[in-house]
Amino acid sequence: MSNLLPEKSPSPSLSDFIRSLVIELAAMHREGKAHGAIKDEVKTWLATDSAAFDPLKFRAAAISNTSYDAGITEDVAAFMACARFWISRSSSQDHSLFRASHYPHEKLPLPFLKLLEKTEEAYCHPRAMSDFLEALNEEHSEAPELPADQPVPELAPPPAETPQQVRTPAGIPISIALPNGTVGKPYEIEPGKIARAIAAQCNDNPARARIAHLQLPDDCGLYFDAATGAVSGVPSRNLEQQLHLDYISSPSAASISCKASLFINPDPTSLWKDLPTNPDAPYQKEPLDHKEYSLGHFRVVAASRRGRSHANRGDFRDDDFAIGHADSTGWLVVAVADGAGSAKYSRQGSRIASQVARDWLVSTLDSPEYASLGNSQSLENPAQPSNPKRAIRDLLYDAARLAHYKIKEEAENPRETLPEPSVIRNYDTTLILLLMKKTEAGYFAATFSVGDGGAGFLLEPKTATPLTHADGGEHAGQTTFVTIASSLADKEENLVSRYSQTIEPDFTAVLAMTDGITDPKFPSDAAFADPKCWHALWDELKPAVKDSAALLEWMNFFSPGNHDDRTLVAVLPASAPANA
Amino acid sequence: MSVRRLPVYLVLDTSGSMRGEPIQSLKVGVQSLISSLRQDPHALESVYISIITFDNEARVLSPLESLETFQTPLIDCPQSGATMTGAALELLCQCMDREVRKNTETDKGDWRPLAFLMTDGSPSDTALYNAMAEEVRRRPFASVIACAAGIKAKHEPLKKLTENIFNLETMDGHSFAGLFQWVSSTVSSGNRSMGASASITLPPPPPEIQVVI
Repeated sequence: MSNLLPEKSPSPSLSDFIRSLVIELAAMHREGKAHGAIKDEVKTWLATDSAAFDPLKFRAAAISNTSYDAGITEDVAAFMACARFWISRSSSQDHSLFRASHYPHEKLPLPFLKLLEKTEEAYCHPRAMSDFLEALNEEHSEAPELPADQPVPELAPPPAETPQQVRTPAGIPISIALPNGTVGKPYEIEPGKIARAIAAQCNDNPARARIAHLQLPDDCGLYFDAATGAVSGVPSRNLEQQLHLDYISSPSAASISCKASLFINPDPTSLWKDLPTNPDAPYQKEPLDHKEYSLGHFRVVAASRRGRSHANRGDFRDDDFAIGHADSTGWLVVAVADGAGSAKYSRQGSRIASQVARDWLVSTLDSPEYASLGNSQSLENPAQPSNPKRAIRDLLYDAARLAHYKIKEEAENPRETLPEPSVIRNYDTTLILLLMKKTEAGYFAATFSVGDGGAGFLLEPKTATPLTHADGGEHAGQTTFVTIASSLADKEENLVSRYSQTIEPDFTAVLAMTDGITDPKFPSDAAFADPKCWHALWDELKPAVKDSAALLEWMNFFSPGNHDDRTLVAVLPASAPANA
Repeated sequence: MSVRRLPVYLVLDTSGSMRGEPIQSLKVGVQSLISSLRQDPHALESVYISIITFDNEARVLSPLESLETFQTPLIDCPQSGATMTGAALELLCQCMDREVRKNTETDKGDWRPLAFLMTDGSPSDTALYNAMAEEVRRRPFASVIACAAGIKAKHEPLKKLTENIFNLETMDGHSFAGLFQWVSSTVSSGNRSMGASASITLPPPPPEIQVVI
């Protein structure tokens, strides 16, 4: 601390004063008292320049700190602040910023003024004071030693681990926080970066500074290159540790120890827990479900699995699906529902929504008037009042409304014993309905969707038609639900915005899925509209749809930040070989 | 593909009255919040943290940064002075408008942010505070939670800001540890899928925290 060495003879009374003050402060703190009269003492001392410090008077003015746990650090800070204030107030030259050069006062040694200057903005550390005292002692061996019976003041503790530490010019020990790492992710600190960071704090020349040694735990997977000062490697375990490094400010200087902290995050994939659900909760649901069907012209492979975020807390799977077939007319009915994570019985909401809609659609469509689509006109508008046949889109809208009312009924008259009366909001769920039928003109598909997730129609090699438009808000996770009455209130608007249909001579697959799949696979609305993304998904799915267990396994893919429940129903042509 | 972030703003009172044990406990509390969130895999992947402190003025102590790379800053407080809570809320709104991403055609937006305000006094800048409390309410925070710490903290101004007010009777290490543990579980539950209008359901607070009604 060369900048703190006294340059000319300081008044012995200064070290006496600081010494006495420090001893008194330490004693007072042991008594649970604090900083009563620092301000006055500093003022008196500066004004009189005598051995004016009266320990008894000072003690008497102490205040109790039982309700106010100020440390001795605060008192030292107060001492420095007061000294600065009273010295700078006596000058007209500069009131805002203390300048040692402005105060060539005889009784105040320059090192003390410099110390005040350095601490003008920085937080004053007790160590700066203790260094200053040491410097005074070295210069003036005639200065009175501390009385033997006095305990060592708290203010000047023996340095803990290393006799020498890198400090800022103000005397604050420097501690470097190395960038955080994560287990399994490559980690690198570029050559010379640590040395430059320390040099900048110490006003050393960064070009000449270097790190001689950095002590890293043996098995942590990181290595320090002493030649370049770089750190690299792949962290092998989590760490939260104080490390030591040896800093050399210039080629001729001796190395000085410096603390460095290093934090290595755990690998997020290792933290997921798979907790069982509460067996006593109402509305039990298995965490995994998978089924496959051969229905008329179609083969259907469906799977649904509890997301990691739910498994981690032992929550239920909130997704559900239901598949049905009107055998006499050849209509395939698929329903996929995603219960809201924020609604406590949404697992039941999604079950009711999918099953009610499926059952009603199958029974309605299993009637001769729906045996053929007729011309495309009849899809849009049955027109003739004599024709009981209603437009497909009306049927889908009614199925969604029926789902809403059945959920409301359950909320108001629950079949299971609930701990408290419930409301429909606790059953919030999305709903995607898909109808398919093979006609003379080709494969017809129609969807109706409330909420997020989505469905699409794929034809190899490159064609893909999204069949839904997700209801999203400005932020992630915002959507609407079939359980919210306003979602279904306006029929005309619903038929326009929620209904979609297509007819193609052939198809490869039609997929309906919840947002657990669409979020990671279609990162934006633009991606959802892009056939390339659909075919990229299909390339992954093709081997997985050979059976539903394989599909369930595929759905366990890892995607950072996407850990919701996942449900996917793949409709394939019946002719498709099972091991395609 | 960028991960959808869950922005979490900690707005902390560092006015002079926090000196001593309260500020120390607060520091330890923030550190333990970070540590416990790092044990939550979902949080580790999606939580972004920002710390705003206020005393005579408000400042962004830590800009929004991922939990993975976040380094807890030095939290300090002046000897005395005003409690510019209004300025802090103004800064919170500015940060949110600038930092929180919305859904666009080509990008998924962030989760709606969470904000925690901890204060041990009452706002000195009352007019600004009242105006800014309304501004905060207009913004799509998933939840704004206010914590009145210590006996001098006033509840009335906080009611203008949010319905979620909690009282911390003492400001010792134990109380702050409880508070931040609870904040951590709130942040974890903020990761769940939320409805367009629904506000998140807060987990039950620990016994040291009293719900203010």
